[in-house]
Amino acid sequence: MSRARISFWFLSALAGIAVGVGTALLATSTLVDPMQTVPGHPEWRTKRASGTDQPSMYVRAFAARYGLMGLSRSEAIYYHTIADRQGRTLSSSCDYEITGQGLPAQWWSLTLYANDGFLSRNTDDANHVGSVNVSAKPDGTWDIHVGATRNGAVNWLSTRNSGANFVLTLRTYLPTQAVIDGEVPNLPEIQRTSCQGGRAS
Amino acid sequence: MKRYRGPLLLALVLAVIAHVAVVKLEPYHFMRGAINRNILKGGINSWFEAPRVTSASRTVVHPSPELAYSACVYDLSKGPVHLRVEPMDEYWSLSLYAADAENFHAWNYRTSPQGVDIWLVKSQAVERQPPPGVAVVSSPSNRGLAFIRRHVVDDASWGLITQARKLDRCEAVP
Repeated sequence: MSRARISFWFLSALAGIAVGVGTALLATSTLVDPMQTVPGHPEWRTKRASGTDQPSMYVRAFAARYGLMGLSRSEAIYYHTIADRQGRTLSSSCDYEITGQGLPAQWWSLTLYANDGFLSRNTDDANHVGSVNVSAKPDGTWDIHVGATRNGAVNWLSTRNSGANFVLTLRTYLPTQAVIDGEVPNLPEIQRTSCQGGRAS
Repeated sequence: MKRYRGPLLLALVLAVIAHVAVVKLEPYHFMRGAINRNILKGGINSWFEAPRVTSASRTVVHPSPELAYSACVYDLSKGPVHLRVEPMDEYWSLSLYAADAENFHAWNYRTSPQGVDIWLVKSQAVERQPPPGVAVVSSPSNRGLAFIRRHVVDDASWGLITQARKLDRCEAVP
């Protein structure tokens, strides 16, 4: 076999390995999206129920990359949002009203994160509200004010020092079997109420 | 054209093998990183008790301020590891993760109101029997992570969690 022919075999092998590695990293970082929008609640996204105890190798790799040591669906279900009900990106320049009611789980917690993914650096002690401390109305519903100041609200999530945008994560612990099996819970609704120097819409 | 067929076939076969290998090995890679980070913090076969999450915490992205975390890297290469979790009235859970990041066992305050007291072993064939009341749980891998989450309701509950942590165990069985 000529030297050129050996080189061609060698380069073909290298190219094959490179393509395999590249497509694997691409598939597990961007192409597989285990998140889905919650039906009827367009602002919230949650992990897709796999429907099987044996998720595909892609879902396992994605979960290890982005949700290492996560809880199983029967232990906790998380919901994330970066937008309000109208699909507008959550902005620290605006105020919001979140309305909700009891959720089908043992307990829940709603946390506000700054745009760097950490809790906002402030001393407001208002980075999360949960079933143990939310102040509900007699009918069981509740409102949470989201903004840089409390504005007289009973329930408040502070956006002070959150950067330009923020993220909300709703964690429901030990959800009911119906929700584990795929029933959609009645999730809180996020409405923009005002923005600095302008209208809400 | 015929002269390219062999090299192209080789490239295709190697691409498929490399693709599957990388996808399957990724969980091990990320888990090894997590294990190494936790060894630096808490060593092996001992709990690392994370401090309370505050607005100044910058260790983990998207931390849960309502949870208190404890993590233990277990190593079963020299024998069983005793894991014990002190029960509490508020939510707590213990999750076990193998080297491939699989959550192969979990308990919580509803399923195990009495807490957890186990010997973690590599295979079911245990040479010694654990004391009465201590269950045996098999791990798919020699190394992995045990993770406790406890619900922090308020300052008072943080005090109770601090007390409970003193009774937790993650230690090699002598």
